[in-house]
Amino acid sequence: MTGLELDHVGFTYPKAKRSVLSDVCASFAPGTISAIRGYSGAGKSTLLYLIAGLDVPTRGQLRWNDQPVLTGDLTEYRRRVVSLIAQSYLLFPNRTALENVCYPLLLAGKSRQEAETEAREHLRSVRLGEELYRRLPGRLSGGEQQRVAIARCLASHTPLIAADEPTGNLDEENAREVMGILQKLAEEEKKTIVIVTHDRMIADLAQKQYILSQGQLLTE
Amino acid sequence: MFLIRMCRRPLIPLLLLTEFMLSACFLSVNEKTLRENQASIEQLYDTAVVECRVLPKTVTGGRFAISPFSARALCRQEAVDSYFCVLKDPCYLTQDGPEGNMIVACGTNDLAVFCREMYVTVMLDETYRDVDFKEDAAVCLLDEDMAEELGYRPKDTISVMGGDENGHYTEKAAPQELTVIGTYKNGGSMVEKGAILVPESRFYTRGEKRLTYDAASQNRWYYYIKFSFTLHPAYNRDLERVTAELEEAVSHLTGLDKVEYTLYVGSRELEQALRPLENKTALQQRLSLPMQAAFCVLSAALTLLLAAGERQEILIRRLGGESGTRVLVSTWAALCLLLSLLVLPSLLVAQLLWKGAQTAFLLKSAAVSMFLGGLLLLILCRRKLIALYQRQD
Repeated sequence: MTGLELDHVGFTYPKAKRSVLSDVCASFAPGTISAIRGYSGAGKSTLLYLIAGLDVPTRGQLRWNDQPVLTGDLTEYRRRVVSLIAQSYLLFPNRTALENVCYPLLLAGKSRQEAETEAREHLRSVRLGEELYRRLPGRLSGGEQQRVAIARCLASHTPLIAADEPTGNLDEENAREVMGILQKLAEEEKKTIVIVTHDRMIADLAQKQYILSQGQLLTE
Repeated sequence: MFLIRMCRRPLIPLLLLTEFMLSACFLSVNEKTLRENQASIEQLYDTAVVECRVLPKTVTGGRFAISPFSARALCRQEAVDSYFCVLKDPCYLTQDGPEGNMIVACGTNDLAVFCREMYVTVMLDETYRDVDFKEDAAVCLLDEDMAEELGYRPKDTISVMGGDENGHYTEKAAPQELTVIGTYKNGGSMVEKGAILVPESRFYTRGEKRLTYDAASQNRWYYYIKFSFTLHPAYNRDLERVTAELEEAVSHLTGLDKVEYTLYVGSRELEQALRPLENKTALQQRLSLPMQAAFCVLSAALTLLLAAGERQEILIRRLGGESGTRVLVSTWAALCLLLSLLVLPSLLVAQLLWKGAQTAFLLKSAAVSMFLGGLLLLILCRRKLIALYQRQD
C-alpha cells in the first residue's frame, strides 16, 4: 500500500498558452494528511482535480498503489479510490442529509435499509445531531453540511480523500472540528487525505505540507 | 424517490404544470370557439336568405308598376330562389246585378308576406288553413266589412269577371267562380277598401277565364305594384357577382310612365352578422400558431431550467463514480417521466374542453421539451468534469 504517487505530472488547460502544472512529483502515503498551499492561481486546485479524477494530466502519470490511474477507468477510480470534499460541500440539494450519505451505499448495491443503517453510523461518527438527518442541505449550517459531505466520503469507503478548501466557508471552531474529523479518519481508517488550502492554520494540522509554486510542488 | 425530490423543490414543476394547463385551456377554448364560429359562418352562408327589392330610381319614389313579363324574366336568373308580388286590377262581382259591383282584385303569390308587407290581417276559415297562394287555387278572401255587408261566409262561392281595356265590365270575359276561404282586415292604406284578395295566377290563367280580359287591358292594368325576390343561399358566397348581374338586369327594366328601377339587395344583415364572425375567426386563426409557438417555447424554457438545475446532481453522481451515460439515461428518464405526469392532467382538461388538435400539440410540446431537456442533459453529462466543477464553484 504505497498510496498516491504523482510522477512528473503536468497540466495545460485547453487553449491556454502556459502550463498550470509543469513537473509535479510527490507521494501521499496512507494514514497521512498532506496539505498543499500556494498563491491564488498557482494551480493547487487543478492539482487536486487531477488527484480527484476530474481530469487527466497532459503529461506524467498518477499511480495509486503502484497502479497507473490513467490507463484504467477514471469512473472506476472515482468510485473505488477517491472521494472529493469541496469548499461548497457539493451535496444533493433536494436530498436530505441522510439520503446524501445513503447515495454511495445505494450505488454500491446495498438495500435502502442497509444503506440507511450504515449512513446513520457515519453521520453519528461526524457528530451530526440526529434531528438534522431529515433536513435538506439548505437548512443546515456550513459546518453541518461539511460534516454530511465527510460522512458521505466515509460511506463511499474510498481510501483517498481529496479536500478542496474544506474549511474555506467555515468559522474557526467548525474548521477545527472538521479537521479533527479528518485527522481521526487518517489515523483510524488509514485514509490518504490531500487537502488544498490557503489557510496556514489548517495546513499546520497536516503531517506533510507542500507549496505549489511555478507549476512545481515543493516540500515545506 | 425522484418524484419526492421534485416535490421538495416544486417551483419549476408547478410552473410547467401551470403552463401545460394554460396552453390546454387556451388552445381548447380557442379551437372550440374557432370551430363554432366557422360553423356559424357556414350556417349563415347556407341558410341566410338575401331579399332583393326592385325600387323606383327616382328620388321621390314614383309609381311602382312593372310588367310581370319582365319581372319573371328577372326571376329566371339562376340565383333567384323565390319572388313575391302584388298586382291589382278592376273586376266585377257578377251575381249582384246585371253589371255587378266594380271592385278591385288584389293578387299575390304569398299570403303570409302579403299580410306583412301590406299591413293586412287574415282570418282564414279553418278548412282552408293549408291553402297556398302559389298554387292555382280558385279561392279568394273578402274584406271583412264587405263580406258582412253582402252576407258572404267562408265556403260560399262568388263570381267575378275582369274589365276591358278601359276598365269597364265586359261580357267578353268569362266569369270565374272563386270560393271564399276567409276574410281579412285592412290595417293600412296599402290595399284598396273592399278589394278581393286572390292568388296571382287568377289574373292570367286558362285562356278566357282570367281577370285581365285581353292584351290591351293587360298592358293597361296588369302591373306588379310590389315585387321583391330572394336569392338562393348557395349564391351567398358569391353575392358580389350575383348582385352585379341582377343590378344589370334591373337597370333594363322599364315600367309604367317610363320609370327606371334600381335594385336594393338586403345583404347588409348578412354582412353585419358575418363580418364580426369572420374577423374574429381570422384573428383566432392568426393567433393560434404564434400562441402555440409561445407555449412550446415556454415549456421548453422551463424544461431547460429544470434540466439545468440537475447540474449539481450530475456532477456529484459523476464524481461518485457513475458513468456519464448512466447519469444521462436515468436523469433524462426521470425528466421524461415528470413531463409525462405534468402533461397528463392538461391532456385530460383538453379532452374535456374540446376534443381537437390541441391534444396533439400538447404531446408535441412535451416531446420538444423532452428532446431539448435531454440535449442539455447530454451536454452536461458529456462535459468535462473539471469544467462542470469549476462552473459549480
